[in-house]
Amino acid sequence: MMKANDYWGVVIITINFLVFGYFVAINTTYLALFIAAFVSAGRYVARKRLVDLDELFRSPLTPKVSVIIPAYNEETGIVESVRAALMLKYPRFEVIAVNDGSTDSTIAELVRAYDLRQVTKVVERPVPCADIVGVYISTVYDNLIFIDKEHGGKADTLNAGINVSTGDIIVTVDADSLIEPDALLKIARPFLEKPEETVAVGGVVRVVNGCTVTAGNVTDVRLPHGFWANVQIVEYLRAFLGARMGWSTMNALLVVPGAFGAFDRDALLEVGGYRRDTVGEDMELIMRMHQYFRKTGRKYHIWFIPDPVCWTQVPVKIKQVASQRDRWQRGMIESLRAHETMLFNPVYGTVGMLSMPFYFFFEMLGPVVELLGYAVIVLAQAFGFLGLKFLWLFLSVAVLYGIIVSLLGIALEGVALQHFPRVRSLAKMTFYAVLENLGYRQVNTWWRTKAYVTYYTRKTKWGDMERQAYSGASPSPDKEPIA
Amino acid sequence: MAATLALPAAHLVEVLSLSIVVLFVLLIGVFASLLIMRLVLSRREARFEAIKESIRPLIRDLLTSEPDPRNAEWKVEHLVPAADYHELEQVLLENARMVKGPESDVLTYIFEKMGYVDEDIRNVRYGRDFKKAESAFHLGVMRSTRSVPFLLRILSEPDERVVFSALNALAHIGTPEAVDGVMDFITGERRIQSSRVGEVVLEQKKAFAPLIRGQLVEGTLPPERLGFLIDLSGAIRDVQAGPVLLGYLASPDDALRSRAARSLGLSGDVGSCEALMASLVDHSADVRAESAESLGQLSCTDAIDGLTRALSDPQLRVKMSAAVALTKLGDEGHLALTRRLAATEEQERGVVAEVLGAEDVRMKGMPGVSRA
Repeated sequence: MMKANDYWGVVIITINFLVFGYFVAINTTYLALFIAAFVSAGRYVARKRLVDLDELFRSPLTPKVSVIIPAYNEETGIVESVRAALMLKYPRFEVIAVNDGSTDSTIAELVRAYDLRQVTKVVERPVPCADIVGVYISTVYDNLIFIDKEHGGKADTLNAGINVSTGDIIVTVDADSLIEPDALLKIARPFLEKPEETVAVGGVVRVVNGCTVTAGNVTDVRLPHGFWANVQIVEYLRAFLGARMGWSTMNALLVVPGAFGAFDRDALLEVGGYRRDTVGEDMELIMRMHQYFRKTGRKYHIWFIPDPVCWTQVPVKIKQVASQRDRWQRGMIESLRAHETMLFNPVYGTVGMLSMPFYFFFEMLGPVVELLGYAVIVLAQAFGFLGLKFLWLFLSVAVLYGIIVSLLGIALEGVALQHFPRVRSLAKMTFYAVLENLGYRQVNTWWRTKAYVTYYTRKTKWGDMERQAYSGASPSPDKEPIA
Repeated sequence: MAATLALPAAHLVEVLSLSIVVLFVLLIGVFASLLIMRLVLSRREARFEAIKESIRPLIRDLLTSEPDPRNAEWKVEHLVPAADYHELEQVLLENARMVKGPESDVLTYIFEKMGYVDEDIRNVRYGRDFKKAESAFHLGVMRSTRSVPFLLRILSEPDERVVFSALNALAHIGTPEAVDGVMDFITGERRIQSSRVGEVVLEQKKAFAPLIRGQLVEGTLPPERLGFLIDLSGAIRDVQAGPVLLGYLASPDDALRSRAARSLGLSGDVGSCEALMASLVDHSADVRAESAESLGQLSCTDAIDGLTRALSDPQLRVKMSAAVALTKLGDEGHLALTRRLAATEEQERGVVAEVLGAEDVRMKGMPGVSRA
């Protein structure tokens, strides 16, 4: 008969090996995605040389774009974001800023900056949204529309923007983000080159903290000071740049970032717009698109391209980072649960067989497994079930392998994309790649595990984040610059 | 039990440790080589950029002060060291994208005489796909007429990048043979990057206009291809295409009628006002909306009554197009629109108020402008 000590020994050793396997699998999958991303980035950079963006700009055949900027309590950055959108280089586009019942002076800031006047507007509602309180247009910019609506959440706000829009392509941009001047021309390219199959395109979101912003443009790219912003830069490179590029090559991308994504308007309406009862509306929409188009047998592609850059502020206070990660994790759980029938379902091809299982086991359940792993390895060592060699091995795959994967993210940025011009910046990022895996990752795991609790207790709502004015932006006495 | 499990586990740990060490060494090696590569590339790029910066003023001077291509070529050949010819080509290509007329001829001569054209033709013939595409693109920028037969040949290649670059180059070169080749491609069976092929056509509007009209008159192509040509004739604003587009306005195909209505507005053929007015009662809402918009674009003042009636169309899109069109028809159109503020239907009143309100706000943005 097995003794209690033996029984627990077996359990702990087995769990240790399972968690060990989990770390090997997740980091190896990231490694594979990076290899695909390197190939894809190389092709993209080469192809860029064959495109004359001025020709796209001059062409009257270029489809009209509607840029939607949802805003909730964004008084600090909204004027600058709208200005950046208005300065975009694109032949035909409109900017639709949508206020989701802000309680701060978002409306007043916009009205003052752009001389907005309230007008009558007849709005059809092909997708559901809360009541629109007022529509404003600018006496200065013909292509600026401002919508004031009752509070309904981010997805609801985006839906309101879609209802008012008249463009063939819908581009969503977060109010705390800035788009590079030629980003629209670049993100619209797949719609021009593959008009019949392109339904959505995701652009790269990069961290603006530390950079200098002049008249809505990032004029000097630098790394910020401080731990939180820097580790997030490394995290963005690993998880958002490398992984998404990798999935895109297989048409298995599950997220087009809400901060900067482009959609074919007809496709967006066909699937019913954004779902309003989730905090992960961007991921849920893409999963619904995959489900709908694969089920209906329509040829489609969802792209991720590394070049059209959108700069966004990342939170720099620990509470804000925790709250953001909690919201992202909840959004992912909601989206994956809403589409769990796609999991391991061959009808959905690479999405059902590869990216869904990856997100389900590694991204959704991952934090719990990881946390369990850390706890059990301590127990195993304490009771002497596994030797120091296994501890070393465990830490190697959990931490060292993670560091190497993060370093590959930096290498992808440094060699193929080169958005950070200084070699010194790459060296600094290398340092933070180590720190990201030695502390930040573990804390992040804890926040993401906690998200399971909030998932069952909290309603959908926008994350509150204290915004900061851009460094180099028009001076405002009551605002502190980021850098 | 735990002890019996620990033994094979220990062996497994040994094996895994060894494999992990090997993997890590490999990956760290990859990372280090990538960083070294980046350093080397950065330095090389900086050196290239410095060379290009030193060549740019020379080329600018030549283009503004040396009208004789032979003299220009002689100067370039003797003032730029042979080791810098690669950077020289890039600077010449930069300039070739921007200039037209005699300056462009000077550059084309230099490209030809300095062997750049030969090199790119060689790549187009024997290179790998990407090299073919890049060289084809360059040949278009160089406007090399000699390369046309080679570019035409690669239009049948399977790689889309190669084909699009060849089309782009042929359109830039713009000789009759090149234009015919592009037109054959557009009207052929192969479909590729439709709206980007349209950009190509826009490079040589005058050359393509009669060919597009000819194809539309023949009308033997499949509807989708005809629709694309109708769009193109509007995009290149071909006034002479009016009569043939009017024929398509009577087509039984809804999509063709709607595209014809839009292109008529863009083409600027005021002779089409009557037909467009008749289309305001078409059974397709798209056709009605496009017709209303075109009537505004063409300033068809006779259409005021028809457009006013279109304000009570069941479709919001048609109402909106009609209201916007009326604002473009002078005071009479504006007056007709203002009267409809008293319309009985709520949506119609809303549309009229929206368009007039927007117009009013825009006017406020223009200093010294007001509507009586």
